[in-house]
Amino acid sequence: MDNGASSYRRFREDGDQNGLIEIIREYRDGLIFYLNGFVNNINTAEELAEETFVILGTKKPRDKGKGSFKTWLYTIGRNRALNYLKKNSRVVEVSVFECAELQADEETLEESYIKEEKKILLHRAISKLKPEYRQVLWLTYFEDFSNKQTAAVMKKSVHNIETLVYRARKALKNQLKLEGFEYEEL
Amino acid sequence: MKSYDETVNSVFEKIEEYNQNKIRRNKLVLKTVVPACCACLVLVATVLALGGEKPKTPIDTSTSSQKIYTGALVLGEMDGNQEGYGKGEALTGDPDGYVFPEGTSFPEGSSVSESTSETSTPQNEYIPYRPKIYLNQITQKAGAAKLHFGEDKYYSEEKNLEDLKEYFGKDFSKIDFIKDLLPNEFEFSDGVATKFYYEKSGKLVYDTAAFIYYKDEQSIRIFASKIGAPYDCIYKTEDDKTTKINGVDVLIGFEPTDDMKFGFVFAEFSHNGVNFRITMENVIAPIYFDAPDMMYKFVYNIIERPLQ
Repeated sequence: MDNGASSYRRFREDGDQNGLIEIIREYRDGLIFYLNGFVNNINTAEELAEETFVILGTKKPRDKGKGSFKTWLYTIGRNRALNYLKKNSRVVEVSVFECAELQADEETLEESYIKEEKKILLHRAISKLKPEYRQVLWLTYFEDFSNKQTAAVMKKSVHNIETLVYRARKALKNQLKLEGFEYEEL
Repeated sequence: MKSYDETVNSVFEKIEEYNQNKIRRNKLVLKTVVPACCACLVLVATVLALGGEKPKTPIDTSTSSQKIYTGALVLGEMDGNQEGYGKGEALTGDPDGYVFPEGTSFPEGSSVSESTSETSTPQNEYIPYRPKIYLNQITQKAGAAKLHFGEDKYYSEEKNLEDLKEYFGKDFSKIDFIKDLLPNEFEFSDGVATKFYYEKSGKLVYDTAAFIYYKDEQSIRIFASKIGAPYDCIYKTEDDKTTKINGVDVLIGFEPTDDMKFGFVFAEFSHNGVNFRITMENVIAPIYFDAPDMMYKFVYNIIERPLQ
């Protein structure tokens, strides 16, 4: 699969539903984690990810081919998340039970998507940083996006992303230190 | 947290729901917009039908192509192309634009030449947009009983041209556009004057005036009256279909002769409280060929043109 572009083309132009199913299977979890960086609620992030796939299925937007399909998909997801935040600017309170459930969901997803123990710990430390740092670190460390791709998704300049990555890594190191971890790659 | 299959199902359910809503929306739009559009079209058509006559426009001699009939009559192009002659088309023998009642037909035509002469027409000539002309063939002529105004009950007054101008609001003795439309010099009959009859009480009972233009045997007559029919001879036609000329219903009739195409053409109409009959008689070919066309122009100018 070439980053999902050919699957999407099959779905969009030939009406092959398997194309969309392949995209959902390939990108759902990563997208949820990325969107969770915005809304900090794994269930809401899941809904937003689902909405992103629904947009692909209904509006069938055309991938302009400026970057990879994944970059484009994450950009659509990001716009959905920002719209959601604009409409739901009030802080949503959740019960203790709900909170525990959300945490359990996130842990399940971490285990299936991130797999490596070290990376799971890293992700948990990242989730305690501010939203902008969470997003940029997720894209660069977990999705292996280049600075250029990250800049495209986050609609910032490459220079801004470089600065942001530098500051986010510094903040993450401090966070890990606070929790008693050292991560060599940082 | 949903499994992959649950997410896939949920996504496709939402897509299906969206598509259903879209179909419903489209149907709703069709149900509301289409009737609304139809209503608008009907409204526009009604407005056009009731008041959509094209306004008069003076000829722009710099752009209009001129047509010359044999005999050197210069006519400007006709304005408008919805029915009858199209804009810029020559006035040829094509009977398109004329509508003949059943049982009648267009008289055989004579040759008409067309050129693009630079000869100009007067700047102030009004050439109307010409719709279909209904030509009613005269089937019978009937003389109406001559009115007799005995001196015991009535008295008369001679009216001169100034009086008639004041009475009818227009001076029909100075219709200069007639000369623009005719091939030869038609002269206004100098001696025209008319008698108005009144009851002893002073009530006006007869006010018919006749304005005559002639050239040898050819004549164009304009009869006018405010209080009655401006004639004493009735022309019965097959089918009294009228032609709308600038919103006025005009009955146009003709009587063909063996050698002169439209031997006789008349038009009857009422405008601004005045009843008119216009006749064209013995007008030689090729003018004869388009006598109904010329009649249309006369009527149009009388209705629309501000006369002196």
